[in-house]
Amino acid sequence: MNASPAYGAPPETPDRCHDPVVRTLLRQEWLRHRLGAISAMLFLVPTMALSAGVEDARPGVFFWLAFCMAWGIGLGIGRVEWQEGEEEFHLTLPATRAQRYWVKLAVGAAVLLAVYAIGAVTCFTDWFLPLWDSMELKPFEAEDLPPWVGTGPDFVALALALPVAAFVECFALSMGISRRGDAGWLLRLLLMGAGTVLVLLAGGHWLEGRAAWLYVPAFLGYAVLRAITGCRLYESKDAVLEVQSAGGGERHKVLLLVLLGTLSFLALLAWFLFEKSAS
Amino acid sequence: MSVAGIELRGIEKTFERSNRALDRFDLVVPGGSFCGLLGRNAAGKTTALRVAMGLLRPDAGSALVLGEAYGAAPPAHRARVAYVPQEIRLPARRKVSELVAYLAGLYPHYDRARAQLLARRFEVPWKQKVGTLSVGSRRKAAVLLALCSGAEVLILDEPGAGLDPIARRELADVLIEMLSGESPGDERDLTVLLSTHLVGDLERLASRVAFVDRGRVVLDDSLEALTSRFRRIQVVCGESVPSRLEIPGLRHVQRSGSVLSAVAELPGEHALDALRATPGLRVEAFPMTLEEVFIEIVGPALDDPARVTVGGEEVNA
Repeated sequence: MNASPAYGAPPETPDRCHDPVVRTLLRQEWLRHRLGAISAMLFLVPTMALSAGVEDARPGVFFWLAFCMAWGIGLGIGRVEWQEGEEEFHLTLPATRAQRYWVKLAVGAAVLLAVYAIGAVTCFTDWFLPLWDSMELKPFEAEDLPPWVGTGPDFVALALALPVAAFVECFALSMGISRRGDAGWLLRLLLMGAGTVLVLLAGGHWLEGRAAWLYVPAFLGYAVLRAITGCRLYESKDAVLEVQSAGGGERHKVLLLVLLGTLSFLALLAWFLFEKSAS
Repeated sequence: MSVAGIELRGIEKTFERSNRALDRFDLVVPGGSFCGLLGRNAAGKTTALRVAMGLLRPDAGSALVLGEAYGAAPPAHRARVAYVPQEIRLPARRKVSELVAYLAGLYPHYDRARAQLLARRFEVPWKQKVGTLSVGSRRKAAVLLALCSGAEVLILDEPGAGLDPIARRELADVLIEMLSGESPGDERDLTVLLSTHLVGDLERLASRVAFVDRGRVVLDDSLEALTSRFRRIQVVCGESVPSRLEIPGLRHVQRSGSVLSAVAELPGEHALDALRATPGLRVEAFPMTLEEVFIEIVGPALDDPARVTVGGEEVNA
């Protein structure tokens, strides 16, 4: 056995730690979520939407599509480690919790950005026109926009801000989980999603054309605050340490599917109402 | 200033339903030492290690590894510590080689070549996804991932559990090589905290041992001092049995006819001189194994130490 040494000073090459750690985390997240494949698949989303019978596609489709995807991305990236029982492994590696949190948030935001890019491409350019023509679909026109968000930049801003807030909320909430058996967070998300849709509908009704200017700073401000508080919560929480019980993961998957199904239904309902009010 | 390798002071942790896992848990592992943590199931060993690694926040007390709270430490400091959990849950879709590459990006001193060597030595399939490995291979993979990190502090929670005797022996050999500096890249002094139920492994490896019972460290000493302090004493009484017998440091005693079998904690061999000088008695003291000492300390006798009176009164069994 070696004699007791004088500890206290870190070993040599401490400067190497920071950048390589973030780079390694980014690479890990990229591989873990198969983001290359997902990015490629995202370009199929508009095509899938069109082939699913969206005959009169409008920017609202992508608005709600981005909103729903933001939930999926936030939950998917935020919960994967504790859901698969790997938090004990990852949280005892050199990367700090804050580093893990912000890297994951950045990766999720990048995926969301890809969704936006597709939405922008399909909504505001004629990149997909040949495809739509071949499917006898109409390109987007300014008068097709939902009346409650107005037209132009305010719609774009809201279409960006709401999914960002939804993504950050889902991400922060799922990252902050410290007990596997607690399904209350899913219910909380469901209630928040339903509440958001209702607030949007009410705002759209009462604040025609001006709603976006109210909502955009509110949603973006909320997203920033929630990201910061979510990081603090993640840094201070107890890790999820229980070994996954048989069937536990399946139960969560079912709950998640129910949650996403309900949200999709609400989104479709909202879209239907908008369409009705537009006509 | 010299800093302890691991320092847990006054740690308290209560889980739901008032399940108190740690109750003023105190443990200091000096830098460069190998400390074994022994305790019964649910004694609080794993919780203590998880608190040390920042996985659980203590309700009270402080947990320092190399002088800093691990959970709040920067990456350069965290890279000086490696941990093998009790439940091995590695990313299932990654190959062992990919995990080694991943960790090499996080630990500045990670030794990939050695990881490959250890994988061969432990017979861990290098190019196989972790999810397809057997439980034992997964555990060996987790151990090799930690052992090659170049960390100065290793915290190992039952690394040998579920391993066959040959694999366990191999693991112990690797640890001994690391401690003695025989392995390449092991010039630094290593602090190891090992929680295990395999007492034999500890006797081979540890320089210190701490016994944990009901969320507390009930005994913490060097292995040598521990095993020399506790003695199994046999007293054979002749025809003239003394009415009153004093056995110093007595913890437990049984009588079988004229033979008393006792366990005592002695400050030294000389403590038995007076007993040995008593006429009509033949006194012999035998060393105890670590397992025997553990059972003596943590077992039921702890709460009920015996006092012997021979002749007039009955001996407590």
